[in-house]
Amino acid sequence: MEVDKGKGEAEETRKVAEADRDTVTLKSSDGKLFEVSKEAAARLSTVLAGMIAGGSIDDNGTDLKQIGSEALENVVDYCNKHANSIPSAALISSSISFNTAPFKEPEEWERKFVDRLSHDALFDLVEAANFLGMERLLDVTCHKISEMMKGKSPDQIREVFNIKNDYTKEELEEIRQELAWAFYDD
Amino acid sequence: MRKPESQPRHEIYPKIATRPTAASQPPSTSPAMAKRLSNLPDKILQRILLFMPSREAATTAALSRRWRGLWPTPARTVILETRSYGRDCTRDAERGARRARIREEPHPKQLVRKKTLTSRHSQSTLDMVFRPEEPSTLLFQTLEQLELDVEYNPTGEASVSALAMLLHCCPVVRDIWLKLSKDLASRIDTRSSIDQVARADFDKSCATLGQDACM
Repeated sequence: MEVDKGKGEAEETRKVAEADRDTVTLKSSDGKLFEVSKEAAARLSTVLAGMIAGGSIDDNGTDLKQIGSEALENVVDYCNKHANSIPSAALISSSISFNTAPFKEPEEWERKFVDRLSHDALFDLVEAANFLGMERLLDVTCHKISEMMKGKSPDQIREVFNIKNDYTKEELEEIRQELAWAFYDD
Repeated sequence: MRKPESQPRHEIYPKIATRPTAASQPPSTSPAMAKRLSNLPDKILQRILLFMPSREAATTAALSRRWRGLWPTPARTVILETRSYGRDCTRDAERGARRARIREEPHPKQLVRKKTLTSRHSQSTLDMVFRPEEPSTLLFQTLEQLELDVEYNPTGEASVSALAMLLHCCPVVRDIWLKLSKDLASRIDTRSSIDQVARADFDKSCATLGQDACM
């Protein structure tokens, strides 16, 4: 009896805690649940911010059918790390729109965060960040991809990223002429 | 039967100043990552190009039909609207100018709003209006020297951003003179060489531009 009562109380307090808890639960396409700080989620993701504001967050796990568990884990990991890092005033400044906002170099932890990802995980994360409207994470991941492309000739980039060259020889020559300043060594 | 010595092709690539750290990783040719890049929407590809040196980003037009027209990226790049004074000097100044001078109107709010560009090479004058919010682009493809006679505040985000965007449109600029107001001049070198300013263009990073001065 005593035990049951205790359980009931625990249940009660759990419910109360859930009502105004400061995390949200997200569910990946394959049904795994992840918890993330509500504040960080709202600050870093325009989509999650909209869902939180609109009350469409499900306490049993908000379905994110487009995002696999590995990518979602990385998203949540990023949000938590971001919440723990010293908030950079520039990152949370909302007065500057995307079009004009200057890009801030990835911070040391952000660099490490994307460097450890496999290629597939990196691209999964880009897609997840895009889906969730996470501008900063999108910048950091796109920056990483740009570094993978830097210093390579078009031929090398095509090879690495398996891009099919659908130009004719003449068209390619035309482009090289047009962009002579970029191909100036030819 | 020895072939005559020829100029190496693509010599430019190793020369471009990229940060040595992450960029120097060996390329992975794992087929697992095949097509992942091509599957991304245009908007994302443009965001990737934004972080590349202008010259290298421009060469991606040669990758495939889809990549043609992705660069210059419409977002976050500087937009220059030009209006020519006198005879057909607009194209000249855009395409042929090697040196440019930008002067600021009195009491501006930020680095760029409306300025006069004088191309010493072609003796033409342009009004330049920088409108980052509008999606169209213009390049100063041959501009090698840029003189900015403006109130540049190295700690101001708008100034740093505007300068970075201006550099984005000057892919081959080598020398930049910045003339600063007195109180700001003490906080940054008044003349910067390719090592500093042009690298900021390559990195597309406002932080790189501003950090030395931001104490």
